[in-house]
Amino acid sequence: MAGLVFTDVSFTVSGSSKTKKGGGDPDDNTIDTGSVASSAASYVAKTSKKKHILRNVSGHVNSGGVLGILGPSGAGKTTLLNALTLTAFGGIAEGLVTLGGEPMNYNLFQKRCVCVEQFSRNWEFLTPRETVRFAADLYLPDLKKIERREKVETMLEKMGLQICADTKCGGTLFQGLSGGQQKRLSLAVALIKRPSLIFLDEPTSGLDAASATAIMEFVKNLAEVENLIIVVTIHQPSQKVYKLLSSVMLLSGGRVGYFGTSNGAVDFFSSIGRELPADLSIAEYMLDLANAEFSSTEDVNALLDAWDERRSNLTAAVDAVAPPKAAKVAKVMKYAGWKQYKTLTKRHLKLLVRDPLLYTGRALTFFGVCTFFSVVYVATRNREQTQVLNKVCVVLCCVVLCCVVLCCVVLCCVCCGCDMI
Amino acid sequence: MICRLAHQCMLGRWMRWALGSLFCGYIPMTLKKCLTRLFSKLFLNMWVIGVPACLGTVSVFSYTQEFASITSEVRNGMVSPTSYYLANATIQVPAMFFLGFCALLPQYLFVDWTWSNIGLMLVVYSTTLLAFEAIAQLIAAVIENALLGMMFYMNIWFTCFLFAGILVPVEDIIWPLRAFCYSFPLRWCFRSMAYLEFDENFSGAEFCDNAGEPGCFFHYESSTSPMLPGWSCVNDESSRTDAEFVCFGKTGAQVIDTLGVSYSTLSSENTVAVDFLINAAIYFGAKLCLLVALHYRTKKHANISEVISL
Repeated sequence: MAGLVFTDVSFTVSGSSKTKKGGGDPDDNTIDTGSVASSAASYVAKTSKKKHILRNVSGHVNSGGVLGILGPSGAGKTTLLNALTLTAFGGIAEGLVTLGGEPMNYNLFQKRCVCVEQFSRNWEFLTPRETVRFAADLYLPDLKKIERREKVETMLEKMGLQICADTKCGGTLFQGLSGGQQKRLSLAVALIKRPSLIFLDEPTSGLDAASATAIMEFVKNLAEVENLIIVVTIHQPSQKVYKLLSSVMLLSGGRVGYFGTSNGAVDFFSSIGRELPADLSIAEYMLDLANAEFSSTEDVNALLDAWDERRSNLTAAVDAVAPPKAAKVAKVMKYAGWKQYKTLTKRHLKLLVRDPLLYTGRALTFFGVCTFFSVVYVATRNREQTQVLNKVCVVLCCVVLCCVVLCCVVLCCVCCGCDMI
Repeated sequence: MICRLAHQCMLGRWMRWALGSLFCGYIPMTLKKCLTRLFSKLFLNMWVIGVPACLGTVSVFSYTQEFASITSEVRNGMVSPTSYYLANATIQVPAMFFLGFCALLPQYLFVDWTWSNIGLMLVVYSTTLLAFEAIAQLIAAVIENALLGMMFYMNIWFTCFLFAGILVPVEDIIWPLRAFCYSFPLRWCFRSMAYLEFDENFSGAEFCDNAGEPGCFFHYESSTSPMLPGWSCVNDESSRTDAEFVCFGKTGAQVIDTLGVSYSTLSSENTVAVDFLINAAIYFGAKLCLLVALHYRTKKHANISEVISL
């Protein structure tokens, strides 16, 4: 299969927990792995447990397709995305993930995949044009400069960013691009790499309905035109957004509740006796069914068990099909150390000039603070016995206060989330 | 929930304050009770109140996003950590020299520091700034939680200040705490700056050659031979008593050696080159650790392991 295939992906975390003796929630995703260490005097038993955040999640998406991973909060959407992007830390990830027949590893991910995080931050003091230009210079060092510039302009046009191409991105320090424009810019940076697979974590969160639909329409077209594989996690899709997904995976409590085409969901739920009410969209209905906090646990488990049963039949059918073919590998970008160094130096010099908190602000602060103290201790100009201790104080102030200013700048930078490195 | 959080915060802070006070309180136990330690004891009181007050401020701050951006760029194959590291260092060095210049310029303009030493002063000062910058970067790279990182940095800074040889004489600090005096940049910077600044003669004192003359002060070359000429002060301020008027010396070397009686870090010996090299070594050491930390953090990944069912 020329696409992304993941089979039986599980993610387990271990840890000890205290439970009431003889109690415990029968529906939680935990299994005992250690002995119960309780005493007669205590009613609390300390058990060593493994918690399954994801359990045997399987799915696939072909080139040109958009897979939407849906589910209520805590369903395991982000954990699945982390497992697929090799960033699932703090536990044990198991399963098989292949891209075009090749097992997923760090090198393959770096070469052919891109992950656009939910809160991906664009460089605040660069414009979209500069951001995409630098990305092109870094991702495509082998192309001629004029070709790169053409690609940048085409990308800005495709993304609808030309109207704000020369506006600084903005962020915590000042208002620049809108939320939708920021997300489209992140996507533009990702696309300039020409990857085979793009992971998008919550691309529609924080956007109004129209912007969310626009973004997802764009993503769908992109996947079709560029023959890309796109995996998105979506917390609460509207009906319009749902229809734009070529396949859908519903997660609940780390298990799959449905996986298949977006159009096939209604039929599946009907087949298990869950008819779609007339006044609800399928996306809303799916999320209602899978939400253990607002539906009964038995109903949710019944849904998950029904899918497990259906899946075992499907697996047998898929196994009978011919073995997966290797996908056409996208052109792999090459590292060019010197070019990267030059581009990064240029980028950070630009940031140095524009970002007041980096150096220019500090320079002014240093000058101001030291001027203040030199005025306070102006009497030490006279090299007299009575001024000796004061001169020591000036030197001390000069050293120490600049360090304090450095400290304060570090604090401000962290607080504002700006460049410190 | 609020009560629980408040309880945790307060308990943690109390513990930190108690440890901080204990830490600071232990050092004065070793101080000799003599007049030359008067300044040290005075400054120490400031520490006991200053450290706990400072620790509260760091609980406000949150995570730095810059490093997350670079990590993301590395993972997506856009940049390599080494290229980023080199580009950053290329910009950082001249920028810190510029910052150093901005900090020192007012001293030369308003307080008339010794202009002939401005070059050396700038080198020493900027190298110290670089060392602090590299330490801050290293902390940001190693500690992903900015709150903890900031607290750590502030503590390092205070430790630098405490062990700079001004608040507490180095020889009064017990081992292994004394190691801090040698491993942080502030002491070396302060020593060189004082040396470079106290480079000219001071008025109010005259040379004197007779070591036996009353009011003629001098330092000792060795334990027995006086370093001549010495100095004596002309106390023409009749309103002052002798106790208020301190006579430090005629030449910069004499003055700095007199100060060295109270602040043992200070000395008329030229250690500028050594101090510069020590701070440069601290900078390069921190940068080297930063390179390792950058590589580790940006290339950290969790491979998915295949389960083979039998």
